[in-house]
Amino acid sequence: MKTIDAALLEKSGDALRKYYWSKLGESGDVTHGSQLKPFSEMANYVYKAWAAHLDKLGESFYAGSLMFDLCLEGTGRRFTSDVDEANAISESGRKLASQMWAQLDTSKGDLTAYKGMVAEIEASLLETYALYKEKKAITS
Amino acid sequence: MKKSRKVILVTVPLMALILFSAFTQLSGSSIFPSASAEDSSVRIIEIRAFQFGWDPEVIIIDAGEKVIFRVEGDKVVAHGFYIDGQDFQMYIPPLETVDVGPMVFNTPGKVKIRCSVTCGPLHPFMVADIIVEPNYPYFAFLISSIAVGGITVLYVKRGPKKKMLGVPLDKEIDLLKIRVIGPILKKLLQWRGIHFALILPNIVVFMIVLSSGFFGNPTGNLNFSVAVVWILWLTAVEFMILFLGRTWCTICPLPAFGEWLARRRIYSMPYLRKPFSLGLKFPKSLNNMWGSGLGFLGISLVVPWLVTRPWVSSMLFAALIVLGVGTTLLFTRRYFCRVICPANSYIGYHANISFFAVRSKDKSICDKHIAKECLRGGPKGHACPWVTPYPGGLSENTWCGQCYECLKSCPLDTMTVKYRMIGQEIDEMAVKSKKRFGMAWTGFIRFNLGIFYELVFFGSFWFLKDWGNMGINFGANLFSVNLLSPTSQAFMNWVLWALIVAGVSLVIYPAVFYGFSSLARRVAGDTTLSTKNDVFVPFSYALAPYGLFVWLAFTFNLVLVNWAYPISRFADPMGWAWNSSPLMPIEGMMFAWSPIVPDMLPYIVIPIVLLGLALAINSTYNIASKLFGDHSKAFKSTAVMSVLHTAMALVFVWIIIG
Repeated sequence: MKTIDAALLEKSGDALRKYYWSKLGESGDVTHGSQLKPFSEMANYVYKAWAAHLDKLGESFYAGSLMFDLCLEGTGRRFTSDVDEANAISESGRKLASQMWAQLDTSKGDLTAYKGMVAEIEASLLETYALYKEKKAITS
Repeated sequence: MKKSRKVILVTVPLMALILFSAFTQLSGSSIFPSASAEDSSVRIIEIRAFQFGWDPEVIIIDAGEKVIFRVEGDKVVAHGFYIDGQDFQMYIPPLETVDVGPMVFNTPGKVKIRCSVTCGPLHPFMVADIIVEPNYPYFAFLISSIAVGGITVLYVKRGPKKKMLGVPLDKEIDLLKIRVIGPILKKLLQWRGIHFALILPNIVVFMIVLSSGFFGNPTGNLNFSVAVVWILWLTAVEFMILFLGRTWCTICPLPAFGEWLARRRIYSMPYLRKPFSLGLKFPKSLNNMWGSGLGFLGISLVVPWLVTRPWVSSMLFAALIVLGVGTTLLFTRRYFCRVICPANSYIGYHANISFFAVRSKDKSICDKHIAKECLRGGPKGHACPWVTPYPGGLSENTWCGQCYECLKSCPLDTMTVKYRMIGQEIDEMAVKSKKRFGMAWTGFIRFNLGIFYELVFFGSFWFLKDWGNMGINFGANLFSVNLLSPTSQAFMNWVLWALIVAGVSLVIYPAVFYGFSSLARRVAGDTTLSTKNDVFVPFSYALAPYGLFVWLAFTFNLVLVNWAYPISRFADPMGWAWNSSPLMPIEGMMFAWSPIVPDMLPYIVIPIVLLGLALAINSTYNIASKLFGDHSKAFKSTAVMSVLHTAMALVFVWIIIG
């Protein structure tokens, strides 16, 4: 199984922390709640797009946009005027999607391997989220 | 400034003379004063009616002369005798001669004799000219045209920067920010169902067009498919281009079927973007304006059949739907609209000078944005179906079909709808696209056909109509002409027509334009630029406003004279003469054919064309300023090009009132 680039994971976590989690309400289930919804839904999409034999490049961009759209939706917005926010999240999403797609290519669509990879990314993101919550609790 | 004052001193009295003529035209002539045909002071004018003209086609009368028209009827069908500005219509039965008059024409100028009884396919265009001498208005308009050209050249001599006829070009209104209306409009445009909601009623109308064309009355002005499409729609589209850009493309039903099929849904977004299409790559060499521009010209070769034979119109529309569906199934996106649809050529070309535009609020944000959903599509909106190179960076309307997908897909909310002055971007666009010869030729085709149609359809030269109609001299068999088996003489006449239409639009006028462009470059004294590669195409963009205003003038003529035909067809689309209905009291018509101010038409349409002339000269200056980067060179080249533009205005004036 391919592993996800650690720098990318860190960058993605930072993007979500800065532009998504910080704008979410205080309540929420860390493991199954809205915190990971943009990524999980995106991961789900990538698998379906791969299975439908769509184009990797175009669908990676789309997956990034989808993740960003879900972030906006999760924070009760339709648009943002912050282009850095849009770039940070959608680029993280695109790069993650691209690596996940490559994993699917390598494993020839092995769902178990794919789920393992998704779980690995989710765990890393949750770790970032936990650190963020901890830091937030200290500063407040 | 002194010269400008002198020109104004000449022009103002001229305009006053034109206005005076216009007002006196209202009470221009008296009909049926007490006199008879035996009265020696009365001139008898013999005129013969036939399908679709009058013989003689031009009658010259002295102002104040008392005349009687001895109208000889057709051998085949009845006609009506109507003179612009007169309150009568005379029925001319077949094989009978009717005296009309005596009457006196007091006001100099030109009025038209028209047929007022539906007599066959080309009936609405059966006209003759009465020239009341001395034709002062003609000369006044000729001098006015030269004056308008001259004043505009003097105006640009002052070096107005980023202005169009005195109006600053950098001012614009963001329509989505207007209080109350803006947010509502924004919500509507970002609503996924808006496209479908706008197209749906149009599809109903389109079904009526198709069915009436195939199954309705074979006479054009009595059939919905011809009367509504080629009178109302044509007029509406020209006005839409000026005020609402490519709004027709927003609501056009032709590509909708293919697009819905390819997207597998009517308006919602699919979860997976897997179109029902082969997704072939469109050939790059064909991805330009040549296809639709030549398509428009191709239609012009058969335009007398198209706008008068319902089944020909319906065949064209059905073929366009099949092409629309087929193209989308092969190439996914709207290549049909981009390169095949004949209407795209002129809507796209002229929309560049429209007041209306879909643009980015801030291009720097769009450039910085990596995902560019407007280009690639996103969860809320499809990728630009028009394959616009990059909607966020749009600076021309040529390829923007105003589908508003970019407004829906952009998460940064940077796309908006703007209202700006005519010609805001024409200079930059012209200079950026020096090699887009397809655009240049689209401009030539449109501009020339606008003037040519004025001559053919509203001019008295019946033989031109006959040639295009594939008829024979004097239209002996025109009523029932079988287009698929014409006589050899009729076919040769049509070949002559096709040669004129294609020759003028594709060769003669472009050659003259090239000559003027070359001269303009030489007079400007620029040796660094070449006529072919740098000057010719950019200068041709001045025809975008000019051509549109020529067509606006043409449609004014069309709709003000023939408004009763399309309006009546809403009550009886098939033209099956439901005249027993109280809705259709007059021979299958809801309203009697009654032109609106027909004798005033020259005073309406010529100023429209002269406004187009002024816009063309100012556009040329703006383009030249950008091209040469020097006021003196720009002015000199504009002065040369203005001679050609003014000459074309004189041709138009001659057709209308000469």
